[in-house]
Formats: sequence, C-alpha cells, structure tokens
Amino acid sequence: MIHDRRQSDIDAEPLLGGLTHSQERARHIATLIDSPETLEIAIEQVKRAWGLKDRFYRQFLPQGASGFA
Amino acid sequence: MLKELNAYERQCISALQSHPLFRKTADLSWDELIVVLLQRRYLSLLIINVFEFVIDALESEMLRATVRLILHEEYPRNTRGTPLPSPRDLLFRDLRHLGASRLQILTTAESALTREVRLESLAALESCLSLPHGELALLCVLRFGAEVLVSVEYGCLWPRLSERFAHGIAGEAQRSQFF
Repeated sequence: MIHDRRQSDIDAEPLLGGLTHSQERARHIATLIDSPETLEIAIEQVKRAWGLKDRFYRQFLPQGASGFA
Repeated sequence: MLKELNAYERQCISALQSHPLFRKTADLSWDELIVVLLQRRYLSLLIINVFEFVIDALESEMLRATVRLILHEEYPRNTRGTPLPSPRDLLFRDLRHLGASRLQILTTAESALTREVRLESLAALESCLSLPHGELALLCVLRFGAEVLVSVEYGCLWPRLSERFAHGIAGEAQRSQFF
C-alpha cells in the first residue's frame, strides 16, 4: 500500500501529474495561510500532531528516555 | 510564510525518524515489535472516525468532497463494484504474517496511553472548531497527523518488517499489502 508520504513542500506541489492526498491538502492549506495568525495556527496543529506521535511511541520506552522537545 | 511551516514540518518529520523508539527498532524482539504494532492498530482503526468527523466539520463543500474521496478509498471496490479488502483487513493479514495470532490481534487490550492518544487525537479535531481559522486547522491536523506522519511511522518500521516478510515465519516469504 502506498501511504501518503510528504513528497514536496507546501506550495511546491507539481503542476503536472497526479497529486497525493497530502499534496492536494497542502494546496488547500497554502491558499488558507495568508497572515501570521493563520501561519501560527497551522504550526500549532503540526506541533500537536507530532506531540501525539511522540507520546504514543514513548510508551514503549523505559520511563525518562529523552527525545525531541 | 510557508517557508516557516515547511521548515517546522521537516523538523518534526526528522524528529520522528530519529525517535528513541525507532532508533532501537532493530534491537526489539519480535514479541516487543508485535506489541507496538498491536497498539498502533488502535490508531489505524480510528482513521474512519477522523475522516467522518472532518467531513462533517468542514464547511466548504469542495473541501468536504476531497476528504470524502479518501474515505471512499478506505472501502475499495474492484471495477465490477465488488468490495475488496480494506486497509484494516490488510493490516490484520500483515499482522498475522508477522506472527501475531488471530486471538492476540483481536483481544490485546488497548493500553491506557494508547487510549489517551486516541482520545486526544479526536479532541485535537474538536478543538479546531473553536479556532478562528477552523478549516485550516482541521486540514493541517488531517494532513500532517493522519497522512504525512503515518507514512513516516511505517517507513521507520519497514526495514524491520520487510525482513520478516522476506523470510516468513516458517521460511515462506509473504508480501506485505498494508505496510
């Protein structure tokens, strides 16, 4: 199965050829970020999504293991 | 402005790739790896709820249509309209090929932390509703949490999993359909 990896930066999706779902979503996101406030909201969500993954995988480590903060 | 967002995304991706758990994946026993995968399955089962929530929460019909399209891919059909195994079916098969028993997959309890993460994933979506740019927030959570990082996770696990698929448990190679 092809999972939806990040193949390009936001707003750098190819003009030709098919887009992955995440690229398609990135195009929409690029149109909605037009101010420092919207940028901050986007970064906040990315941070939150990352934090959940970090916590999930940390449960399998001995307590106190350090990582990305 | 997007430069900053792109840089932050790359930072998070690279942090996940070098997560302490993924750094020691090669040292985990198969039993330990199966434990990780069985807990991860609970997050895979959540994905349908995530898509459904986002579809209901988005106000733009155009955006709703794009998410609906992905949801439909979660229930694939062949050209004659016959339902094919879903990604969750394929995950179940892959877990069996990796050595988890049917009962183990079906009866392993969700850990307290997995439950917490699962509920917080839904709460993250709900909290977007009260933000001034809720649609943007929803799209960011969906794209980064449910699409981009998921692919990174499987990419990190794949070197270890592919070894098992290549050699099989009883010496018979299997093809992974989910991972």
